[in-house]
Amino acid sequence: MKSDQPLLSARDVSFGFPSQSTFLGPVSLDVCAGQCWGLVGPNGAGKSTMLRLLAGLLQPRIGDVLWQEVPLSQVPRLQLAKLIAFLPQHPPVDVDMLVEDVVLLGRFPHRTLGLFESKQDRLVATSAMQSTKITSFSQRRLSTLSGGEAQRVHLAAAFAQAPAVLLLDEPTTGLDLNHQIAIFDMIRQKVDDGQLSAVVVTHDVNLAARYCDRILLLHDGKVAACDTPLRVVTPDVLSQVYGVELAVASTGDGSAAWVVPTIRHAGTTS
Amino acid sequence: MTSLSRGKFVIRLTLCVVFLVVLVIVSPGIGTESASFGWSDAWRAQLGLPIDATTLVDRPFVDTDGDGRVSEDELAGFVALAKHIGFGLRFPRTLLALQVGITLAMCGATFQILFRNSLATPYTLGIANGGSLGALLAIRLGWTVMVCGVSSIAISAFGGALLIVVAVFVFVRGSRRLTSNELLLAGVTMGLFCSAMMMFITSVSDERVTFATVRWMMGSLDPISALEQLSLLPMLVPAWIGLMVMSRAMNQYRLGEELAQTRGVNVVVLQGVSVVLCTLATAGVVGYCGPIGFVGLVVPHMAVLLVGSDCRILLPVAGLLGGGFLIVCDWGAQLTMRLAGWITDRDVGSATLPIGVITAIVGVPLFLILLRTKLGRLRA
Repeated sequence: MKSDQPLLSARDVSFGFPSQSTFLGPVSLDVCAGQCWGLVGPNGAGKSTMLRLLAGLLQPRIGDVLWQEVPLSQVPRLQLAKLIAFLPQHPPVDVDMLVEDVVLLGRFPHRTLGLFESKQDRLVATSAMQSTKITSFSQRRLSTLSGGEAQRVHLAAAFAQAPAVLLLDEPTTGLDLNHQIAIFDMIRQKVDDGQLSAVVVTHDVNLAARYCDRILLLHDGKVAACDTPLRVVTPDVLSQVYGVELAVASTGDGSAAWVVPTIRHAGTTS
Repeated sequence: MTSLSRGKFVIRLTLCVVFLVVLVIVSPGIGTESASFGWSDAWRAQLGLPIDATTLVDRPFVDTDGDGRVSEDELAGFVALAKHIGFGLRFPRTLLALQVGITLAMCGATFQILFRNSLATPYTLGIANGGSLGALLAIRLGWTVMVCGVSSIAISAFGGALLIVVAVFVFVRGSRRLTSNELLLAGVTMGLFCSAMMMFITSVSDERVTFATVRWMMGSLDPISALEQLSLLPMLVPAWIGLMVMSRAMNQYRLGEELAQTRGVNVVVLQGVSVVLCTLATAGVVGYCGPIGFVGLVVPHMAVLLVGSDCRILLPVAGLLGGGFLIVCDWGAQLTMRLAGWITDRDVGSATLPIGVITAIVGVPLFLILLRTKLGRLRA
C-alpha cells in the first residue's frame, strides 16, 4: 500500500440538509495512488451521491472535495476530466454509435483543435479496447450488444480517458457472475499496473471485500465504517447496517472473508 | 459503417458539395416561366459566350417574326430573356433555397440530438410558430423597415421565437427534471397557442392583409433581392459555424449529460448556445420565407441513413442535403403548377405552389418510410 499524498480527498463533506431523506455526511476519505476503494451500503445509503460529489457533478453544502489540496470547483472542467473519469450506473446502451466511436469519445478531454482524433488517441483507444477484450466487436453498434458487452465498452472508454482516478457507479449491476468478476478483474488489473486509482460503488459486499483495498460503509447517509475489508466485513458491523443476521466465513489465514446471510425459515429460531 | 476518419469525412462532404454544385448550375434552366432555354443557354447568356442562333429557330418566342431564322435582334432578345429569367429570377431563388435548406436541416438535426427525440425540430418545438407570430405581428402593424440591414419582420420573428424558447425553458426549470417528451409536448402546446393567435390576428385583418399573411404562412421562396439575402446571412452563418464547432461535444452529449460533464463538456453552455443559434437562424428563415416545415424533420433522418449519426459528419451532410432537398422541392413547386396549367389547359402564368405544400407532400411519406427503415435497422 502506498501512502503518498492523497490524490482525491473528501474533507467532512455534507450534501443536502439533515431534514432531507437524501442527506449525506459528514464523510471524509482519501483516495491515494494505487488504491481501490469500495463504497458499499444498503439502498439509499448515499453511495451514488458520494460518488457524484467526488466526480464534481454535485457540490457539497459543507466541506470540500479536493484534488491534491485544490477544491474541485477551482479546477477547470477539461483539466478535471483528464484527472477523474466517471462511469454512471446506467450508461446509455441504445445509442446508434459504433463501439470504437464510443471508446474514442473517452479521449475527448485530451483533444487537440479540430474535429478528429489524433493517432495517439486511436492508439490509446485500441489498447483500452484490448484490455477490456472488446476488440472483436469494435465495429458493431452499441445498441446491438448485450449488457455485459456494453458495460465493457463504457469501461474501455473510461480507460481511454486515462484518468488518475476512476469513479464507477455500480458497474456490475444486472450482470451475470462471470461478467461481474471480469469487470472487477479489469479494474483491479489497471490499479495494480499503477495506471489509476478507483472508487467503486457496489452493493455486493463480497465483491468489494475481494477486490478493494479500503471500504467505506455508508448507512443512512452516515459513515458506518471506513477501513480495510477485513475490519469492515465482520458480522457485528454488517448486521447492524443491513438489519439482518449475517455470518462471515474467512480463509484460514484470514486473507479474505465472505459474508453470508443466515437464512431463517419462518417458525424456526436460529 | 466504420469509424469516421479525416479522409472519409472529406470524401463524403465533397460528394455532397458536388451534388449541390450540379443542382445550382442547372438551376437557371429550371422554373415556372415557359421560357424556352436550358441551363447551358442561360450560362452562355450570362457569361457573354456566343450562342449558335441556328439551334434556336424551333424554340417558341424566339423567332418572333416567323421568318424561319433568328436575326441579331431576336438573338439579343433571347439573351436578355435568358439573363433576366435565369439569373434575375431563378438563380437567386435557388441560392435562397440553398441557405434556407442548410439552416433548417442543420437546426433540425441539432434539436433531435439535443432533445434526444426524432421529432424535435424548431418547428415541432413551437419556436418557428413563435417566430411566425412575431413576423405576422410586424406585417399586421406595418413594421416593414430595415434596421441595420435586417428587416424588422425578421427581428420581430426572432423576438417571438426567443419568447417561446424562454417560456419553454422557464417551464422546464420550474418543474425540476422534465424528460424530452414533456419538453416536446410543452413546445407543441406553445406552438398551437401561437397558431391560434395568428388565426386571431388574421381574422381581424382586412382582406388584403389576410391574403398576404395566409400566403406567407404557407412558406415561399419568391425572389428577395440580393441585398435582403445578404442581410439574412448574419442570422444563419453563426448557426452553421457554431454547430460545426460544437459537433464533437454533441457526440459526447449523446452519451448522456453526466458522462459528458465528467469528460469536460459544459452541458449548460452547449444546450444554451446551440438553442440560441438555432433560434436566431430559424427566426431569420421564418421572417423572410415564412414557416417551411418538414425539411428539418426529414432531411436529418436521411442523412443518418447515409452517413451514420456521428455529429461531425451528420451536421454538414444534413445541411447540404437540406439545401439540395429544398432546391428540388422548389422546382417541384414551380413545375407542378405548370403541369396543373397544362392539364387544365389554363394559363397559370408564373404562379408557383407554396413551397411548404411541396415539402409536406414530399416530407410526410418520406419521414414515415425513413422511420420504419431506421426502426428496422436499430432492431437488426
